[in-house]
Amino acid sequence: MNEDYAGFVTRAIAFAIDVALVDLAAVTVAIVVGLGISAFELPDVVVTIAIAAGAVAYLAWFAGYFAMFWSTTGQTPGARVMGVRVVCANGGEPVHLGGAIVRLVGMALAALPLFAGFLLILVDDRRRGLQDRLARTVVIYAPDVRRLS
Amino acid sequence: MTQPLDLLVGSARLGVSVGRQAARPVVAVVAVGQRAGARIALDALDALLASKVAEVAADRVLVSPWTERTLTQALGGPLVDAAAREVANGAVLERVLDEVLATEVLDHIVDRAEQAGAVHRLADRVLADGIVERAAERFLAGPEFERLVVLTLDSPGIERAVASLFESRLLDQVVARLLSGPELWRVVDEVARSPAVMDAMAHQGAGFADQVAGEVRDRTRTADAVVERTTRRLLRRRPRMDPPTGPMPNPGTT
Repeated sequence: MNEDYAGFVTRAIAFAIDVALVDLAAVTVAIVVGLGISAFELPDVVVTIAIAAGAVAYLAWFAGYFAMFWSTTGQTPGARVMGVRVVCANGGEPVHLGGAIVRLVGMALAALPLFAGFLLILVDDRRRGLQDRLARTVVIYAPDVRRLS
Repeated sequence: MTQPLDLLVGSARLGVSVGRQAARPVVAVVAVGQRAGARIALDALDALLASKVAEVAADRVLVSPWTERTLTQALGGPLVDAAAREVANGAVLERVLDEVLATEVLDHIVDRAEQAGAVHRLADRVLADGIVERAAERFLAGPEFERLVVLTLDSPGIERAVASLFESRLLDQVVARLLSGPELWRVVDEVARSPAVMDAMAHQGAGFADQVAGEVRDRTRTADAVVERTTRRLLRRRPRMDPPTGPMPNPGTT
């Protein structure tokens, strides 16, 4: 495998596309559910519980989105648009579900110190961020990605 | 001396003249005899040809091996070539053809053939044997058709005809009629709904999106390198090495 590793800008745009898709779906669902709930006069406790449930559902949706795509095709829709793919650093094999979850946790950890964990991509020779180091993955350019047509 | 000589010449001339006068009846009798002999000979020949004997003799000559051998030798020899040369040199065929075309013989032949139904039978035979198809295929596949098309398209007559067609009101009327009628739009709808067109449009849209995505990918790759180079320069780190070729290294060994 002699592919180059994907850089910071490409991965940031791919991640932004994914977040936009996730949020668009979440906002759509939230609007529909909120309109449905607004038709009833519910106690504040129930509304609070509903909001908390929505937050959990959002997190589950967010995590499931990335974990599912990383562990199946190695490409989220955003990564597919940008032509990059997540693979195991050891031999370029697809990432397992466990590795995808670890990578997701690594992303959260990388975001905590003012996204400093992501800045490692700029200085690492294999362009690995904190999440890649934790999950032992790399992100490569995938010019052999199937065309959208 | 001259008198005896003149006398001799005069005597000779007189003798010749007398001889001529004396031979005239004899010449007349001989000529009459020749004409009579020729007439008798021809009458005898006619009688001979009209007789049964001549017919039998002709049949025997025709069926005899000698005739066959002679004919074979004649056809195998230079006689045929000489005859052909003479026919060609003398433009015999052209003269015969001119004569036939000048007279009404050809018309009579055609009329009789048509009356006998030969033309229809010939046409049916030609159509049934596929001769027309084969001739058409040969014509369309051969270079003659291309030459004919090129000649036709290059001819000024075609240019004038096309120009006059576009300048005529007929084309405007045809176009107006097509646009005002429902037939054209029905055809357009059918074409637009056809799987081939739908597929082509889908490919066109996907191709455009793919083209945009490809352009974005190329630019972000450049941006990747620029941002990384700038960051490393600010941090005073060495520039990133080119990616290694071959199998992806094991992270435990790097």
